[in-house]
Amino acid sequence: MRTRIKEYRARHDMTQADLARAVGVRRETIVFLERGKYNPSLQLAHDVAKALKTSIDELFMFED
Amino acid sequence: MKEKQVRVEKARLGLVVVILAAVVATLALYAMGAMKDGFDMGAVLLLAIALIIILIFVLLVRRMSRDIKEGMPMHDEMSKRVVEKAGYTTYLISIYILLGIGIFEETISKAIGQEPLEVHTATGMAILLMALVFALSWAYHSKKGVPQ
Repeated sequence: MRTRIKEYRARHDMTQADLARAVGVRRETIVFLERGKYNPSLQLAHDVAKALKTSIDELFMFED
Repeated sequence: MKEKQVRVEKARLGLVVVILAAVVATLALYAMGAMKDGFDMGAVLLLAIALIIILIFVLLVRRMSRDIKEGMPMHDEMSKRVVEKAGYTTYLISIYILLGIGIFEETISKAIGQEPLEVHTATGMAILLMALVFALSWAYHSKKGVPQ
């Protein structure tokens, strides 16, 4: 899995800590999400997409 | 985080610190008791394992405290999944630990001419080893992440 969280975060001038606080998770969770080392729940994916004003499809890319 | 949630998290952190202090005090008493009659290798081994667990616990408490100060929760869905994975790994390895202690009692201790372990020593060792495996497994999965 690859994500574009870092790119969208930069667009909104948000730090990892800002995004973590916005979605109510620990900063480490955002770090692992950005590296594609954590598969989030649908709820968390939705919350992150909402905080970055985009859609889940835009943020998360799954490789077949 | 809301103010009420911060208070709850702080209370939970306080409870973790109290439990840690109780464990350290118990170990100190145990060490003093075990060393009173001279050097005891089993006691030293148990204390070494316990100290590693305490070290990992202290790192965990520091991390929790930092998260609370930064306005983040102590636990979230990833940390819960890490605990679940560490628990699963510990369960599987515990079976081998118990088997290993049994084999040690039956064969190895006799072969090397050592006194068999007392029941409470073997039980204590098994519990501490399980705790050690859990702590190491937790540290590993926390560093590695939960890709699937």
